Amino acid sequence: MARLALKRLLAAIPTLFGAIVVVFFVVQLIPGDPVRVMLGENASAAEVEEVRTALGLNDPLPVQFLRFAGRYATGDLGVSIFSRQPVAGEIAQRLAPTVQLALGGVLVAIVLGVPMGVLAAARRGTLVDHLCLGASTLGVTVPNFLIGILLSFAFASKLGWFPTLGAGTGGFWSTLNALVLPSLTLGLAGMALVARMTRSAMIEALGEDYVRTANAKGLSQRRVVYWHALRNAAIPIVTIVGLNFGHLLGGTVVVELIFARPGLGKLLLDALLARDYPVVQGVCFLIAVLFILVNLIVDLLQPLLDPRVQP
Amino acid sequence: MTTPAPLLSVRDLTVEFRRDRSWLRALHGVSFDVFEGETVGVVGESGSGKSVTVQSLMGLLPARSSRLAAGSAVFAGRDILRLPRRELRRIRGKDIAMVFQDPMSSLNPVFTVGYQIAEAIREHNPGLSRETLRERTLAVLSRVELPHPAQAFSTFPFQFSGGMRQRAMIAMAIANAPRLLIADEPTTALDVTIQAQVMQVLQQARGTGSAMLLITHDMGLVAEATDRVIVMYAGRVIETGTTAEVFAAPRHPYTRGLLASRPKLAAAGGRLTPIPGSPPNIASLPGGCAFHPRCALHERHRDPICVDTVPALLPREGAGLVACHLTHLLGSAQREMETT
Repeated sequence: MARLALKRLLAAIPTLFGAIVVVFFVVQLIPGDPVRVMLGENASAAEVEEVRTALGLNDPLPVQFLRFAGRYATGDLGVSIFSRQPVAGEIAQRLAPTVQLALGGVLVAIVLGVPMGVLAAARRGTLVDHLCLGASTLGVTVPNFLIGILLSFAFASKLGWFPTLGAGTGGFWSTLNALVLPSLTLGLAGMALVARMTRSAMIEALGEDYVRTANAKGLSQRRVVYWHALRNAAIPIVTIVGLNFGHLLGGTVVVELIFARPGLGKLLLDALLARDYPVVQGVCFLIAVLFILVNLIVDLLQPLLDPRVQP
Repeated sequence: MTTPAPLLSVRDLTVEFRRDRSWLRALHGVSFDVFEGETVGVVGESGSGKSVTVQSLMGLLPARSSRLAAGSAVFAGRDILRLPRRELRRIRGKDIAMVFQDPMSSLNPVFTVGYQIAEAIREHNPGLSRETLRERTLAVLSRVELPHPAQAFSTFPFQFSGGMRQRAMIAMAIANAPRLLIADEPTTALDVTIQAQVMQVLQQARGTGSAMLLITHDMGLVAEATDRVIVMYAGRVIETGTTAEVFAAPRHPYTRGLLASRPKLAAAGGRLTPIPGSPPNIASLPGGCAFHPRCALHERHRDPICVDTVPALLPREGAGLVACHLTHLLGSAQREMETT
């Protein structure tokens, strides 16, 4: 297990390097001069030139890149052009609401999606199955900004059960309360996907010979379905949830905007609009790191779920 | 002397499968008995209804695409085809247990062998302590002669060879000392070299207390292992009797064909004798006797009764039954065959 973890960690290094390359060069492609943005329209050409040289922006791209990669390798993500604060610090402040939101979304996707898929598979071809399929089609096709606005309108504005905006006032219950609607908004699309995946994995598992054996042993239907079959179906489900996590992280940007949560997505969006490139680069890099981390966890879960995968 | 009541008495078992919007009949009134402690072989080609018969007894046929059209199966005084699910569960794995054909796919790949056997024991003996459960599982594992039972306990099925997997399957089936053991082609998926070993383990491990219904198409296995034999063709029983009598003097042309098609050591190098044609499709069974298009007797005598009327199962010489209109003509045919 430890060996597998080490192997996967080492394998993550090239991926991280790739993320640094992309983050660096994508910003080079954005038209406009960051120094011009920084100093404003009234700065003289000489001033601009001076700052450019000071920041090393006149050096050849490969030199700039090596310097950039070197900084990232030591954990220095640069300084925000606007707040003049270290990017790492800005991200650290905004990380918690986003991680909470992402975990909330995954939880919604799993807690609602898996039972729905199992139910649909166990009652295949019946009304229950069709309802589950219909609901999951709706979940995939309706964009999350619409779901967010509808949920916010119904449960926050009309019923007043949850706050419309923000990430709570700090306490545990307040944080949790403020997390419900955004998590639902983020998780419903994931739920639909997980439900579909679970349904097909369960239909396959329920047709296997070992399910017949479990029935022949005299086990209860519940035990056959939720233990013998689901335990096998969990293998593809976990993989899908992991792969879908990146999609989910992207979704946090929209959801944080709708519910005005002070998270990474909000930070990224503000930075993009203000052309605060170091912050944009830092947030993108961090999202890549989170994605790699989740994939690592999924990889490490495989041998625990499936004994045939050698650790 | 009065005959004892049979342990299992199947009468007129008729099962249908859904295809598109119609129901196809896979079993046409199958009847047979299994007595306490005996081994009964059920033989026939693929599609003859052997597996459907035993799976319907265990309630393992897919509920949505199959149905019981008629019949009963009285086991220890109760009709197991009409038991509520909960009651049937108490019988499954305890009074009637089953060994399946392919031990690779029949064992759950994500649980250890020990866990799967212990689960079968615990289900029917709730309240056993962990230690007792483990001890009983280890005892069962050593009864199927798995070397190092303690090691086998925590092994996953994929780490076993085919023969060892089937031993584990047998261990699971005999764990609760069932009164009837159903073995559905228990050696078909195994290497020829270990088939005999596994069969021996199956015979020894079940002990004298349980009866066995052995489904197979291996006539050699039937000869070695069974007391009585039931021959099935196209969803019907066409001949029954003691194994010795049926093998010595088969009274149905199909049984005779099955016996003649066995590879024989004495005739090494000679050609095998196949039954001409192929098993019929249950969607379009021939009228009358379903075997008549492939039957050598019918070919010779061309009796229209074979095409028009389904033959009834009638007493044959000895202790069995046979369903053939022309069985009385078979004696001479046998001499004919032996002289050629």
